[in-house]
Amino acid sequence: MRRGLLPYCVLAMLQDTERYGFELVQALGSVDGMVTGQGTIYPLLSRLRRQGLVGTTWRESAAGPPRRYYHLTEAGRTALADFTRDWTQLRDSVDTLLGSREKDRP
Amino acid sequence: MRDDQLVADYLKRLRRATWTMPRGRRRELLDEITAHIAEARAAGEVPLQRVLDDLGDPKDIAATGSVRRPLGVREIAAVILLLIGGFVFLVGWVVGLVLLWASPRWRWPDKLLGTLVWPFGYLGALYSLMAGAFTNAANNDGSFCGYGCTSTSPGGGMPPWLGVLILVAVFVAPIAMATWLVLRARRVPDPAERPIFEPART
Repeated sequence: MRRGLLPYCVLAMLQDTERYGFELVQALGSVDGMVTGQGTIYPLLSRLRRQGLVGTTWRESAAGPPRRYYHLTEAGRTALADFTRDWTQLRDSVDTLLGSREKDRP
Repeated sequence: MRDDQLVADYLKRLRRATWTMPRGRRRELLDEITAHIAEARAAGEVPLQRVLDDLGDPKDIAATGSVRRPLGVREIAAVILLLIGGFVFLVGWVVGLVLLWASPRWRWPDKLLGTLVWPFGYLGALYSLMAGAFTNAANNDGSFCGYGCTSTSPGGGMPPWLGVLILVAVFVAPIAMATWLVLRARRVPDPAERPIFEPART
């Protein structure tokens, strides 16, 4: 996973539902195959929280101690929307370039 | 029992790796990692050793949340030259000054501080101290009283406590200044000041 993209993947995972840390890491792992270095998600979440892009809520869990749930804030939604626009543009541009290179080949 | 020991060892390594983090942030990180391990154990889908391996090296986790970064060669050179560069034909201090002002790791108030405490570093400090001592001696003696001599009382000059104060200021201030510059240069800019969109890196 490219490090600059990871924050947005985390924001994207939170856009429809709030999740707690372990759940979030598992969900990311199942999409990306991000097997090693899962622990680095937590400093990232902490940073996103300090930047005001995610908020946290403590909720009781059926089993075990309360869980810290992360959700997207308004600022987080805006950042994600901006990224989605930039990313789509970038992807299309790169796709065009790659496509043209394919065509150039004999 | 063996599993508990594994977890305790892992958390101990994490605590050791994060000791420079601000207290609140460190507490939060340790809580989250502890909770993660507890959740994974409760789920019981993967062996504990794999859970810890997947979390990764505590040092890597700490580095991600770190608020300190190592000094560059130029910053180290700047601080050393500001302290003792004056002894190298005065030019050493000037080079240190140029490095100080050229570095993006310091803001202008820090650069001003580095410039003014003291000009020419320890050389300047020693010089002013010696000049002060000579003037003082001359005043006490009474036989030499040049321009700017204001002492009229016999045995005048500065009281001993002031002398001690000046001595401390002259020798401690440069060290304090250097320590301050090092701490400032090691600081990672506040995340809020950093652009969120970092160019993609592997």
